[in-house]
This record gives sequence, structure tokens and C-alpha cells, in this order.
Amino acid sequence: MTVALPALVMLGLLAANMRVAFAIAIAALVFFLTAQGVPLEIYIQRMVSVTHSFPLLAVPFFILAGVIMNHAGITKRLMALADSLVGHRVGGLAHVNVLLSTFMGGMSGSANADAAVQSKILVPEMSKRGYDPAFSAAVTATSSVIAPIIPPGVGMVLYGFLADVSIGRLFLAGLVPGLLMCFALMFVVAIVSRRRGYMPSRPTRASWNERGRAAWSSLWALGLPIGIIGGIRYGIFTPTEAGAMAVVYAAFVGVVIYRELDLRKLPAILSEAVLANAVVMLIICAAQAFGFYMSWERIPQEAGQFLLSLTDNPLVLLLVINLFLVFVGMLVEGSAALILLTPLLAPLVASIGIDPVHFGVVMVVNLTIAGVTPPVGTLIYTTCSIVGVDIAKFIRESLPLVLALFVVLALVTFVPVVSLWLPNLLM
Amino acid sequence: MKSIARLVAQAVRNWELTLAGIALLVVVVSVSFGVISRYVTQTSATWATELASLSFTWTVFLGAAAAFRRNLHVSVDIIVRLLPARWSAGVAWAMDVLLLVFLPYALYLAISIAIDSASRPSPVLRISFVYVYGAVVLSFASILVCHVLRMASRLGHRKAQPQ
Repeated sequence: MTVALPALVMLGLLAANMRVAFAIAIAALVFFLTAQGVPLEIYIQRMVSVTHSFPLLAVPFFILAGVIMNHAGITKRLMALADSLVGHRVGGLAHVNVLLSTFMGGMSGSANADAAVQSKILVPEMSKRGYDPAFSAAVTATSSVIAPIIPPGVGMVLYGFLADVSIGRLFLAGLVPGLLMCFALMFVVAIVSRRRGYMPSRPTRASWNERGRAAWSSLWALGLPIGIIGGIRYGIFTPTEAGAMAVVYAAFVGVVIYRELDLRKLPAILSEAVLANAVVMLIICAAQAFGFYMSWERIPQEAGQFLLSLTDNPLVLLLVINLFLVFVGMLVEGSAALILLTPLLAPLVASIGIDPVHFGVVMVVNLTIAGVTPPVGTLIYTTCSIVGVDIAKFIRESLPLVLALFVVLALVTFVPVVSLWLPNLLM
Repeated sequence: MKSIARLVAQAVRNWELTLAGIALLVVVVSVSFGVISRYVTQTSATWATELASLSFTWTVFLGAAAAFRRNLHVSVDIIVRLLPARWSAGVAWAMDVLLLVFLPYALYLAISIAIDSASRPSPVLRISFVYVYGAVVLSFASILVCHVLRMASRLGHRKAQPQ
């Protein structure tokens, strides 16, 4: 009973709407107060020590780089590029919406920021052209799931840190799944748009000349992910240092090239990044104290043995874990679930020979989709509150899009080469 | 001139966010400096890495306090929303009281570890660990004050409305 007590306390507090970080911190404290032979000082030490881990500095860096890029006027340039590429198709702006998320994924590491920006700039435009706002919101939310999967992504950094897996390989492994999600969503968008007669956003296909010019002016943004991956691949810098360089680069582009950034925007940029970072990091700090309890009581091993006694078939296990994560993701915010479950699941799947990079992509993709699965989904709240649509309507419109994301998840889960091909090729 | 005064007043009022933002800038600058100096001087600047780590503690914990003030920390509200109104109000109060017990205790633990580690300097820069755990102390204190004020105002609100 006492062994399970902290875990039960945590589940109880989570259910009772305690803030996730405090639910975990209180549960961890229960362990430190009841366990024998565990010094209490470790409690605070564990929480603080995680902020001294160099790999985790990549989290605020990639958040900050994305925020700077958004303020630097990069979004509208990428939008022009997306429009020149797909705007002539039926449902032009909906296609632009999906493609823009994919482009933005190369700079922003967080889905929420992406959903917020596009809800503000793209959805009003779509409404003007007769799109159902609920559909526009659904496209915005589901497509922003792509952003953290395309490198760099905060989820990959968190998983890499918690499971002790190469963050560079994880970044690379996300690229193909991210592009597949883009195609899958565009496929659904094309069907819905044709049936409803949503118009193209431009009368004719853009000339290659115009596309070239749009690509040229976005080159500064599109070059960033290539620079990050190349830099990590060739050992020029670590993923964390790549994050710092991305921040410097984004600031340089904003100030010198596009001339849309000045010092007056600095407080707003820093505030946005500090708050987004702190919400995730405080959960990690608490989870690190809780992790002491888990390893002290050997919970990952026990849970693993229990699961393996049910099945040792990797495919069945991956299916079971995926279903479990989808269920958890319906109730708990994705990155919180990722932080709590990675230490539990990563050793387990490694023990039956599943590649940790492959599993990392599965887990991050699954728990990012959690943002658009009702009833609890941060991306649903973000877009619905900005756009001002009813959540029930949103859910109805989002169903085929979410289904498309799940098809990609199944593909990523059961065909490891989808994620592993690129990292195996390059690293 | 006036706008600068207003800016400063705002920065002071949001002191947690201001300090966390400055700390984040320090993190960015020191890690970037670390990369550049490694290629220029061929030696790695260990002090820059250490400064980044120390500042990151401030970014995280004071940022967490600022996020608490703005009610940004995530929670799972799906189950309490299914409860009858009176029950969910009861659960909310129970959670508030629990936090009211937890925060002072966590603050006490943070203060004692800060005092104990005062004589322990960081390996490279020789900065006392008081400046590391100090961030936790300030953060928990700020969260506690915010929580108490919030509870008090809710209590006052309830009293003001006769049953």
C-alpha cells in the first residue's frame, strides 16, 4: 500500500483538478515524508537539479526562436510562399493553412504558438471567403500538430532528455512523419473543399517565377531547420547550442534582414517565451522529484514486467501503448503526459528491442495529436477561443482531419522505416 | 520620458516575469558565447555553461511564479466538471486548502536548503548556491502570496453575497 501511495495521491489530485505540476510535486513530497531512509533535502535538490541540465536548455531556446520569428514578420512571407504553391487549388486557403504549419514547423517547436498565430491571421481571411469558421479552426488546430514534429520540436527534446536518446536523431526522425501528416491533412482538405465548393485563393496557378521570388524571401526562415540539423549532424554544435544559435539567427533576420524587430518588442517576446517555457519546465521539475520515488521503488521495472507478462510481441505492445496514450491524451495535456510516461515506457520498449528513436517519434506524435482529441485538448481551446467557435461544432468538423492524423500515427508505429530511414541515412 | 517611467513601473509590478526574462537573456547570451568562443579560442568556456545553468533556474522558477499569477499552469478539469456544482466547489476548496498547506512547507524546505548550501560555491564561477536555491525561495513565496490573496478575495466575495 505504502509503495503505491504517492502514485495514488498523484492520480487523485490530477482527477481533482489540481494543477499538474503541483499534483506531481505533492505526490512526490508524500513519498519523501513516508519513505524510510530517504533524506528530505533531496526533494528540493531534485527539482532544482533538472534546471541545471544542459540538454533541457534547448526547450526555451526553440520556444524563443519561434516567438521571435513570429514577431519578425516571417509568418507572412511563408504564407505568401504557401499561397504561391497551393493557393490555386480548390480550398486554396485551407491548403495554405496546412502548408504554412509545415513551414513554420521548421522554426517553431510548439503547436500551441503555431495554432494561436494562424487562428489570428489566417482564419479571419478564410471566413471572409466563405469557409465555415469551425472548419477553418479545425484545419488550423490539426495542422499545427505538424509543427513540433518537423525539427526542431520541444517534444523531441523532452523525450530525448528523459529517455537518454540522441536529440539530433529524433529531430531527423520527425521530418518524414511530419511531411506525411501534411499530405494526409491536405488530402482531407481537398475532399471537403471540393464537396463544399470552397474557392481557390488565387485565380490561376502562380508562375515559377513568382514561386521562386516567394521562396527567395522566405529562404532565411526555410534555411533554419537545415542549419540546425546540419550543425548537429556535423558536430558543429550540440542540439542545445543549435537552439541558442537559432535564437541569435532569428533575431538577426528580424532586425537586420526584415527590419521588423526592435527593442520595444523585446519585453513581449521574452514574456511569451518565459511563460510557455515555465509551464512545461515546472512539470519537469516536479516529475524529477517524483522520478526519485519511481526509481527507488523500481516502478518502471515492475510495470514493465507486468506488461511483458501480458504480451512480448512488439507489434501488439506498440498497439496497446498507442491506445493507452490516446486515452491518456484525451484527458491530460500532451507534454505533461509525455513527461510522466516517458521514464515508464521508454525502458520497457527498449527491453523488447524496439528502437528508442522510433518509439520516441511514436510517442511524441501520439501525444501531440492529444492536443486535438476531445474532451481535453489545448489546441482545441486555443483555436476555439481565438476564432470564437463552439467546441461541439469544432469537434464535428475536426473528426476527418484527426482521423487522417491517426492514420499517419499507425503508419509511423507499424512501419519503423518511416521514422528511422532519415536518421539512419544521415547520422 | 513618461513612457519609460510607465515601462519601469510595469516591469517592477511584474517583477517575477522581468527577472525571469532577464535570466533567459543571460542564458541565450552565455550559451551563444560558449559556442563562438569555442571556435575562436579553441577552448570551451566552462564558466559560460555554468552561468547558463544558474540563470536557467531563475528563468524556470520565477517564470513559474509569473505563470501562476496568470493562471497558466495546466490542470485536468474534465472529472470535476462532471460533478454536481456543490461537489465540484467542495473539491476546488479542498485543493486550495491542500495547496495552502503544501506551499509554506515547500517554502520552508527551500529556505533551509538555501541556508545549508550558502557556503557551497559553484565549481567554476564560485557563486554561492544561495543564489540558486534563492530562486526557488522567491518563486514559492510569490506563489504562496498570490494563492493566499486569491483565496481571500474569493472568501470575501462569498461573504459579500448573502445566501
